[in-house]
Amino acid sequence: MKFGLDIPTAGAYADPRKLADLAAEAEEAGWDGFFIWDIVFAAGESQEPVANPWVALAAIAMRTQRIRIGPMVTPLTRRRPWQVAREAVSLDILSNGRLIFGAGSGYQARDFTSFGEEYDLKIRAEKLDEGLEILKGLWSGEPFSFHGKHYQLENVTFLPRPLQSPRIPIWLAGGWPSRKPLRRAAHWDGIYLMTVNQVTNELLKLEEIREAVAYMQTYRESPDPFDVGVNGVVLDDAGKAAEIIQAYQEAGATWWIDLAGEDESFEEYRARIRRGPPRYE
Amino acid sequence: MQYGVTLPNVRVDARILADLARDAEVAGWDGVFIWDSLHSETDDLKGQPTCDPWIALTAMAMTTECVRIGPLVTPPTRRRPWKLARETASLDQLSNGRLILPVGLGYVGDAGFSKVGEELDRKKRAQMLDESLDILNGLWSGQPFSFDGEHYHLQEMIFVPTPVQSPRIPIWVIGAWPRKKSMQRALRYDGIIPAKMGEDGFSGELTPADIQEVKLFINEHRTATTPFDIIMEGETPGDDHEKAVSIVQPLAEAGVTWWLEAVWSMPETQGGVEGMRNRIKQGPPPVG
Repeated sequence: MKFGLDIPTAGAYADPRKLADLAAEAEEAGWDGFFIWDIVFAAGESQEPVANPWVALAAIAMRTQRIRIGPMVTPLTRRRPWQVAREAVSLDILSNGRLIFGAGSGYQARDFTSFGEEYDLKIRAEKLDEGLEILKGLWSGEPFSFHGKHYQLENVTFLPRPLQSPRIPIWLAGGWPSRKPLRRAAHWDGIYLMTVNQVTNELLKLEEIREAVAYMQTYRESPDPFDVGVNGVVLDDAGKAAEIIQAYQEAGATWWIDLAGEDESFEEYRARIRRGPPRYE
Repeated sequence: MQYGVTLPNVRVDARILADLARDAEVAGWDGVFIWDSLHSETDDLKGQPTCDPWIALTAMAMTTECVRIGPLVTPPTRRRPWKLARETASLDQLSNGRLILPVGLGYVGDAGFSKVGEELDRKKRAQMLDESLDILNGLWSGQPFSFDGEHYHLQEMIFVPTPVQSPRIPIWVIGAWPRKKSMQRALRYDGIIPAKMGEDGFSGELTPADIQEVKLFINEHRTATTPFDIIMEGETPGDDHEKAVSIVQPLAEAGVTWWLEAVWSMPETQGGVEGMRNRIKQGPPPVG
């Protein structure tokens, strides 16, 4: 099991240098991944400050050597895919091949509708599928054309290629029990399972993770490794941690991704990050 | 007079640019600027590895402490202005208020326009640029802002944090001399990068006499009382101070406030990255 962090970019976190310093501390403490939000506005009607994730990730890449980094997740549907392709490759090279690209169809209406962007779910799903194909095509370093419903590219060759081969790993966000996002993820390199069941709104149960992983396995076409990121409870009891982590591992999770508690302040979370991931061997 | 270097974002990566920026700071330059191209289609640059300028500028901000940094020039016309607003605010914050934002209509020979279905019509791009600049200003203000233009529509929103610099991140605009509309656009902001235009497009380098005329135009037509820069880009020999001074001095006297040394060496011509590093280390022309 690998241990990652899902770090906000709003409020007390909305400062690229602070995020870079926090990432350096996380690396020092032994975490394997430092992932950050990609949002335009903070949740709800909040007027909190927000940092640009790509500037923050580049700053993080400069302050760290080992830890995996990435946006969790970028709503590809409100970006120009070729622009994202360039940013991701530059970041993969700058980080010496440490980028994981988390993608989704978008999850905050306000980030779209306030600018007149399309927020229809079906159209966003189409744009996400097309956007991912464009990323793959442009990252190949080969001449690439694309004639989709939403995007058209005419014979473009993007160089350099990413450092990672065959490509920068692409994880999709997906919430159980919705099946379609899981099928999409199965086509790529990983999934970041949403914390709660999308119907009951309860923390995802082990049985549900097992079911989701089994479902995705039936759609995997590639023999390459497939990552499954999950959020769990805070593991503050070392004795119990081993047991819980093992259970998640057996259910198919490969990344344990920690979230800040709802009432946890920046300094409290920072202190917890500095204590490192659960020790369980 | 302030001195900057302009570096390509082609055939280099973000880490090389961050190292060169550090060298420039040590050598006494005041600014380091990099191209903002997505994928150039010109003969000499086609198919060359290209680096995202915003990732590179961030890396440069992390290796320097006092040089100004910026993209030269950014075409807001192939970006979403609100996205650009967030990037620039974050970068200004990270660099502690050192960002400058030079803008233009965009070069349609870039695949970022021509191969992906972006707007190619010059008039429309000019409208989009004007609207983008209004939106950047509105969002950087940190005040409730809405916009209903021809090309962009924003419901009322507040963008925070604001940039570190106040009243705003300086905006330099490419001004087509002597075209009035283009010149007027530049005068609304904080600096002009003049380009001499004839009937059929570019018509050569601006002379000190041209700069004097530009300066006169600015004095006559600019209503704002905030500082205003006149920026010129060119080349001076780093190993011949007398010659360098003879190029820059008359321009400084005519009104140029920023001289940008074009350090665009390509591997096959001037030694590539090492060639660029050498010119940077020779420092700016010794004109006060």
